[in-house]
Amino acid sequence: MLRKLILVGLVAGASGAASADPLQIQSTTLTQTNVHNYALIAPGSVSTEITVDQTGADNNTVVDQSGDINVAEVNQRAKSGNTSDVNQDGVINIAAVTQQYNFGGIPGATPGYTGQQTNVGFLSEFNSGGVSILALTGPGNTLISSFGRTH
Amino acid sequence: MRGARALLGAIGAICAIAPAASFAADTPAAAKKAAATQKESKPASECSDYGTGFFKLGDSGFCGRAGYDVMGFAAKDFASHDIGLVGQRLPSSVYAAGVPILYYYDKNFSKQTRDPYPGVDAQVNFVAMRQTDYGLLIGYVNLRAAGQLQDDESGDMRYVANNAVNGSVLQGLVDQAWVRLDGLEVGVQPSMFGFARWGYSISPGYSSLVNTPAVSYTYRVDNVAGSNNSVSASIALEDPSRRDMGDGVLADYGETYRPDVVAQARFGTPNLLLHVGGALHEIHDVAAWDCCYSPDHTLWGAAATAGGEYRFKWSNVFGPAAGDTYGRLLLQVAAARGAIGYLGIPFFATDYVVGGDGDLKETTGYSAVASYEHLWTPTVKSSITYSIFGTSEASDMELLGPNEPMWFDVKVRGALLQGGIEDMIQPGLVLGAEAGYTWTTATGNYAGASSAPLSVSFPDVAAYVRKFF
Repeated sequence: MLRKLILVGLVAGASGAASADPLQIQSTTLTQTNVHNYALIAPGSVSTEITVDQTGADNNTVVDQSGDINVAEVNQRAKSGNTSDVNQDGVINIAAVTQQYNFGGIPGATPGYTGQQTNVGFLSEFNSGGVSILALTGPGNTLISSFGRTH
Repeated sequence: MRGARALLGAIGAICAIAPAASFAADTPAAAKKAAATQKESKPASECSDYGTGFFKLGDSGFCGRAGYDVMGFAAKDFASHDIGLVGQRLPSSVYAAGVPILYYYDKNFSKQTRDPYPGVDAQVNFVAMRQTDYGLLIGYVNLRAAGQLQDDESGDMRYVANNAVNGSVLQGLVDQAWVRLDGLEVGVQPSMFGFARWGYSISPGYSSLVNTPAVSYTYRVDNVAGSNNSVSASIALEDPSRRDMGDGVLADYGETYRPDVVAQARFGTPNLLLHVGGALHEIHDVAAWDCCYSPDHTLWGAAATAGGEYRFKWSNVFGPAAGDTYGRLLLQVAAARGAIGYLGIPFFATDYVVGGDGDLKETTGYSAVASYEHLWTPTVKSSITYSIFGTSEASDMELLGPNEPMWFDVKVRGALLQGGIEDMIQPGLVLGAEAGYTWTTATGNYAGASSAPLSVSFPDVAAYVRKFF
């Protein structure tokens, strides 16, 4: 809540430069709890507020936001390694990364893939064995194919 | 639907006039007669010399024959789930083209496969031939209309054309259309890569039989050293697009200016046919270029195959107790690197994966077929075919971020067991039934971490009636 208030204040203060309406900021929280977690966040040129929560043996996050208002919060709790790479190119950029250690993850039960359009972008999630790969992409960089045996 | 597609493909292989290099006993009598006439270097004074059904085409000197082959079938695919694949380019702060990734998952097909489905495959063909000073001149055309009624992803029944692998009606309508003068053949013809057949089952095993626009030349020697043996060597320039295995994301073929180069050699005796073949397939990728102007790369994929077919009379093996029964056995193997389309397998892998930097990494794979056919009586026969395949599709290590390496290695392996029986109840009228069982497993590794294996298996059955002349 505190962060949201700060954000609104910043937007109000920068109203002369930023044309975005704070109400149009799309937000989502993404959670991964597998052993090896990868989160790739690139929603494109829309204003977004993204939270990534990862708990696993090792966690990896790449955030690339290019909206007018970009907010990224990455919370990583790992056993061996946390890496985070946040790139923001907007009028207002806010990023917070928290990394903790001595945590573990839970392997995925069965191979699973979901892909769906959300209010923030296209969200694909692969969770199988000891691997979780999550990608949030905007219209300009959503490149997906589907194939296999025909029936 | 696999069974349907398989059945639809079957007739094309059976009724086609084999290429000049073929020694298979399935080669139509017309071609055999023609070859014999050619050997004797005498013009066919009567069209009947070419075989039954041939007639004079006016004063042109040509003899011609028309034929047809119609098959109706009903089939049931029991696959409610199968392995689905998703290719994606993950966003990367290092490569604008993103980092390629391949996922596999349990895909639900129950809506498409809940009902049995009917289908038809109708073909008409015409062959004309005459002797010339330069050898036997043959023209052949086979038109084909094939399709079936099947449920779609919404569960609604619709008609699906199966004329061609890519679903194109027009492309498959002209199944074959070629002209052959002596050993030179031009037109839509069977690829020189494929063996005589994909197994003795009516639906295909994991083997490639493709008709393709091509120019080919075959040099053949009969009666080698006074024996009944023959040898031949062939080379062909074939349409590469018929073999492209791209998904548009991991692999996206751009303009290709070079044809596939395919070579074949065969050795035949009255009972044995041995075949080796090889192919070069150009890869010109534009996926990373079209997306993000990563370098545009080209390389050559390759494939090779070897096979053999042996025919025998069982009484020659076990004595008179075996009765008057015959059998034939076929074995074939194929391997490919960057040319998966030559394996004749389901679309479980693209030919290659293009990285964010534009580099290409070829997919490797193999397929193999073992098949036996037993002729119980002159009109009743049964067959059993076992096929396997494997693919290994992988990417090079690339960076999602400055310290975030990612790569994948997905392997898919499968097997198919088919058994069938067929009875020719009248000359040119056949009733048959076939059952198959499919196994497939996918495994994966992502940046050194293993994902869980996924296995599926399911049966399928089909019954058919076929009329041909």
